[in-house]
Amino acid sequence: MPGMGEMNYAEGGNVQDLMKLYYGRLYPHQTMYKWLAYGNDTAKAKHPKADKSFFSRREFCFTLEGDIFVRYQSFKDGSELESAIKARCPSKIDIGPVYNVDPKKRAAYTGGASDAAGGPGLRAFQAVERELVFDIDMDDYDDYLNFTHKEHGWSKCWALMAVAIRILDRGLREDFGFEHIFFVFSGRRGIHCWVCDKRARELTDEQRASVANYFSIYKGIQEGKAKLMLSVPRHPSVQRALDILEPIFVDEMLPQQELLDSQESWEKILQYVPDADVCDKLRERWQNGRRSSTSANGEHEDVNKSRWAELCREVDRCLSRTKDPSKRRQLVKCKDEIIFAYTYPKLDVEVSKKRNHLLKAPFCVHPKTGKVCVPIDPERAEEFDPDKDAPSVAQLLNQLDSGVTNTSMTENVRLFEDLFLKALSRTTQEEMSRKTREAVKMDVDF
Amino acid sequence: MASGAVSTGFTPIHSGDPKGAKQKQKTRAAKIVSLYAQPPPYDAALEELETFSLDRLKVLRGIERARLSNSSEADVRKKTKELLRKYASEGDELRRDQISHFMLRLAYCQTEDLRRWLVDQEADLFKVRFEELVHKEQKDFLQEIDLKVGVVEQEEYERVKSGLSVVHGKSSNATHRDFFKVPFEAVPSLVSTRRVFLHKGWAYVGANQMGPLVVGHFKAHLRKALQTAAKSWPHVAATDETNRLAPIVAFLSKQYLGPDYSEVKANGSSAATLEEIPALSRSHFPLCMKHLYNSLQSNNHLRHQGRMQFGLFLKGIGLPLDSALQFWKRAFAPKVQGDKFDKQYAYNIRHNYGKEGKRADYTPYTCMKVISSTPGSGEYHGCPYKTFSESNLRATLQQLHISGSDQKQVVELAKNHHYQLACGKVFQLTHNGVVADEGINHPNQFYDLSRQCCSKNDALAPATPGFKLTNE
Repeated sequence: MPGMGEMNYAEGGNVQDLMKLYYGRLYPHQTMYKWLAYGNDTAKAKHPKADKSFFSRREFCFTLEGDIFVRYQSFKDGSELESAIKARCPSKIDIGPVYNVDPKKRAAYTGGASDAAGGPGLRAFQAVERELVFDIDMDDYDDYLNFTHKEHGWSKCWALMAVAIRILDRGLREDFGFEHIFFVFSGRRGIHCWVCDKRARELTDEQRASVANYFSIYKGIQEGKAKLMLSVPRHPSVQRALDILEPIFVDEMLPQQELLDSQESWEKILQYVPDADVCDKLRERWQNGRRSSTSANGEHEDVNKSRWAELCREVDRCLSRTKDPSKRRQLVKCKDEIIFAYTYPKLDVEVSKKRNHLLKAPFCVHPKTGKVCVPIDPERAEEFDPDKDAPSVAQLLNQLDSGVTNTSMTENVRLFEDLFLKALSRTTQEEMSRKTREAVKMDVDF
Repeated sequence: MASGAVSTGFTPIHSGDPKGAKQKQKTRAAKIVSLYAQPPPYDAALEELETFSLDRLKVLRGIERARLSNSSEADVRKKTKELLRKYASEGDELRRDQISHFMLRLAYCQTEDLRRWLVDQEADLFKVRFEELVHKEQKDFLQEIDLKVGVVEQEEYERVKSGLSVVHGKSSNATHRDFFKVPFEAVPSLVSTRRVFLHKGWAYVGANQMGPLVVGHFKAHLRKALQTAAKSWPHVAATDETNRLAPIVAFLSKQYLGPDYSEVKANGSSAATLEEIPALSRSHFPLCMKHLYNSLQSNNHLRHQGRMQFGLFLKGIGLPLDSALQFWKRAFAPKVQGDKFDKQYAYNIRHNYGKEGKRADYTPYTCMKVISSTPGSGEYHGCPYKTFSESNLRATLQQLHISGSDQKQVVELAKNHHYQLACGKVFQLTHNGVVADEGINHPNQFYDLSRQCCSKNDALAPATPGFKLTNE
């Protein structure tokens, strides 16, 4: 690379300046196309059952410099998409739904489907397919946990993103039967989840909302405390979540966040305990600093964890004395409530509910951090470290210039293909063949 | 939806019998439960079309009334069966049912309001009929329609039993026969609230939860069919059917099944006189007419549609022609005088009384007609429960001393397009709790009931709340 080798791309520089090089040399345009064509790509357009207009009905939204939003972009195929991205160099690319017609031509169709019996011959412009997506951002945990006052905030909060991935992944597979799912790091403090099964793409808004609500246990804050949709007995999916969350809460969140260390912090937790006597007893003991600080084998045990054990013991003791069924339910629920309030994924459900909601494309660069939206292996979500595993554009370009042929971008694209794209291609192939077989059978039948 | 087997093993509901044989074995009740996917294969005389359809309307309106009067589920079912015996059981019941359903589709497909009304009432009728079927018949029906429902096999049941018992509560004698499985997409409300057990994309639904599921399917099906009909009917009506079906369809969609108030009953409430109108307006007019009367007073004018709606109403309460002329003349006087009034408006008033033009005796507008009109700016006709903004309606109700939870209830009804129910509720609230048993279907009926109620109340005073008034 004559003349380029000397260049050094600084972290924290103007990301926009680097984008041209990024899109030109690193962005996996063809991989994106292969995914979003779902087997209808032109290379296979020979296939009689391929829907040639499928990709061109997909909306892309470009954010251009100066936060200019350009919606309803559409492209014939992967190379048209690639040239447009290279030419316009968007700071962000969002992926929208697949419409019934090319979104560029939407003006020729009526606006909404408010009155389908409207004008004769006029079809409404409407979204027909869209991946089911989820968005989780650490910012929404800030009311409960404090990750900013410690120096290495990242790795600490990542444990919660990892459990969020685990809960969503298992729920989507085991309960809803979805198979083609991938997770990406959002580029700053969160994750996105894309569910790409045909069945997921075809969900109506109402059905999407129902799936989002199924996972949405945390419903915001009410009177200074988390509002949680929990029931007794626990729904099987809630029980599964609890099994995932409890060890994280006890072994990581309690000590790291010092949740029962000071009066201020324990009062926040005691407000979930529905029995005043239990609360008073615990307060008195904790205020007197009576730390049952040594465990059986003499090792020093964390005060937060030992106090949590005390709280659980007292609640259980109270439960064994209580006859009133409604009070019993509250007591059974309160430990769950505390664990869920602090650790259950806080979904931004609005993103999931509507077909026409936009979501940032994978492998995009976060405009502020310069970090790339890279895939996360759900099986190893705990090991993911955004600081190390999510490269920034500057890092990648430096790697490229130092002569590395396989940048960490190459690895990440390969991960995306291995974890998700290969299996998806197999399924879309099978679907095509099945359609063909059915069509042939029909011909024979008639 | 894919018809192929899914990896989890979808066992569709089997019936073993070949289709033809099963058809014969079907009970009468099972035959009549239908999504009406195919047009009826019958010939029918035009008069039959009309009679069958009117009878079905009576059934549907009866169900609506039962529903609106907050009857229990059991009462609605009882009432529905009664109505069906009375109006739909004569002759070939199946033929009657099919023909009348398709006729009403044509008559009620044209506007969103009419479509919604028909879908709601037909769904209620369908639900009662479906729930009357025995379990086996329900299963057969589920299999017949294109709703993907699977049975839960014993072996599979053992695997999901623990999950099911958490969601549905433990029951020692529950078996695999107590559950069906459906794609989770079919039960969004159950999924939303985690009131169903999910496994690999299937929602395991209790047999008793199937009713709402099937009704949802029925509604979606009918809604779609009505939209299709709305698109194609105008073309058909304009050509082949202009003189045959079109008049019946037009007639049916405006059909109001009660007295038409074209003549003041000699024995009924006494005819109104000119002097009484202000007082009558305060205590006996429904909101739509109060609104027109007040607007007339403050503007000294009403546009054509308003004059029609209000003028015919006045005729219906017994105001004679010469008093009517005097009334309008007086009201318009500050703006329109003498000759100008006689030229521009008097003809119209005499016309309404059948004294001009083709000398037809015009009947007062029904609620259906009032609701279906849309007033433009500077116009005051139509149904206030539909046309008023929420804040305007609240303010108006406040003036009638309706506030708090009562007000909220009326506003909710109006918001949910139950305009006549809202009006009925207001009647009840302003008449010492007297319930209009038949519902409010006609502004003149509101007026008559109100007057009757008053004369009775005079005798009974003070009125007993909840005292029921029948109009028969």
